[in-house]
Amino acid sequence: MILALMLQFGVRSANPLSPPNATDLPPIPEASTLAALGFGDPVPLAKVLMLYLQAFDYQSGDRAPYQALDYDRLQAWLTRILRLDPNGQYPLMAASRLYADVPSEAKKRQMLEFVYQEFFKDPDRRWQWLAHAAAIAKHGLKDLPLARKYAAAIQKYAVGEDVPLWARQMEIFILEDMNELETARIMIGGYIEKGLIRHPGELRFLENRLKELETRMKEQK
Amino acid sequence: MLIFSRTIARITLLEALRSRLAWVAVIAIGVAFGAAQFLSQVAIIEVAQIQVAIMSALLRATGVFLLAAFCITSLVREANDKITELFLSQPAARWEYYLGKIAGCTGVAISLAAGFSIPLAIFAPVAQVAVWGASFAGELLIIAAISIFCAVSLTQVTSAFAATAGFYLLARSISAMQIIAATPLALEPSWTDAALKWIINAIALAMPALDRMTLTDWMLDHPPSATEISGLALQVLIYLLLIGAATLVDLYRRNF
Repeated sequence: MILALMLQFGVRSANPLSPPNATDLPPIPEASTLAALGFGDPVPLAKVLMLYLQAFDYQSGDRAPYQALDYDRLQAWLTRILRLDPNGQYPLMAASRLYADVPSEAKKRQMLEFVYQEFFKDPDRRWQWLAHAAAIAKHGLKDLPLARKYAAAIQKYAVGEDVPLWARQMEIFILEDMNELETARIMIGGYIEKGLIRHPGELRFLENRLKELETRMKEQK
Repeated sequence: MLIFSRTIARITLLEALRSRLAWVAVIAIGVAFGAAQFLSQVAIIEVAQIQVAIMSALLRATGVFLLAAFCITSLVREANDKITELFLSQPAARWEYYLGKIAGCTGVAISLAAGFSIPLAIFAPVAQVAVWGASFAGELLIIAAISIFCAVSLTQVTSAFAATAGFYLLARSISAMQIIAATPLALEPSWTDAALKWIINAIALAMPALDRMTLTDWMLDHPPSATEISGLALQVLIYLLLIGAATLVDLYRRNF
């Protein structure tokens, strides 16, 4: 018995399991197949699939993780996982924080666009990932019009009570960076006039911001 | 009144207790907890949700397996040891025997559902876990009834267990099958597509809506509405009546 056990250990040790490479990521099964595999309860399947997807190239030690992944295939995985578990935040977090954090600009943009498209399906719950996408567009891609597009979508569609004011005001700060001071001034004025700002500290902050903007505009003239 | 049924129910519960079913359930909880902890180690966000989802899926499958195995082996062993014949030779009707057996298995089902729900309450709101647990108990009741029916009809452990497992998997995936059948690959569906769709829809009509019961989402985001809960309770009741009647037909027609 001991000999057989040693042989078993030897056979297993001779064939160690290597972590999956990025290029090994297979295509995700069809939505109907996944629905059948979920046996009527798709949420656990979605969670396990997401952790499985994350395992690809996650600990490669490379300075550019996920770079080698096929992003069309990756996007198909993320989309299907979101369909299985629409309330889950993990796929959008992974898209905006992990898979958008690659040197390739095209891949970065693909993930940001994915987050943007998915945001509209549940803006009040998914705004934070689009806010992160706006930050990447502004600082990572230096693409202020793109950042403004994302910030404008948050400002317009994420209207729930849980959405913080800073997220809805992102567009104003991006407009300032774009030197579109007049538009930013009108937006801040609109916020104050409509009574959207109730917290005294926030109101004071925006009023000061408005004054600063007006001073900057006068200086430019 | 119903002394015979109560005795059979008590014997069934005693058998469950003495067959160390409780210990197996405790070990299953430990394994599910360990698996959930292991997988949540690699999660960046939604750690509690992942733990709940993985634990609930594992515990649900384990609960169904344990209950079906217990009900089937209990009935087949009684039949092989001629204990069923001894019971049925008593001055009691056969439906009383069935009532006692299903009552005993119901006790086991409720105990398993309650025991498997408690660890989930660590990670999810208690009220939502309670609803999940009640639904799980209903699901297990249907499995108990099916297991008894298969054991009485097929009289062999392997065939009865295979039939019960097949029934459970079919009931849980029939909605997905209906979706697949409704969307054929060909642009112009042939008569075989139409026939397949019709057959699957007919099977779906006869299956209990297990794919709408005991959903993980109830504990994470959307607890079921009162209408949903009452609809599922009605489904359990109707299916227990249906399978109970089918089992009694088989029990009464058989010569022991």
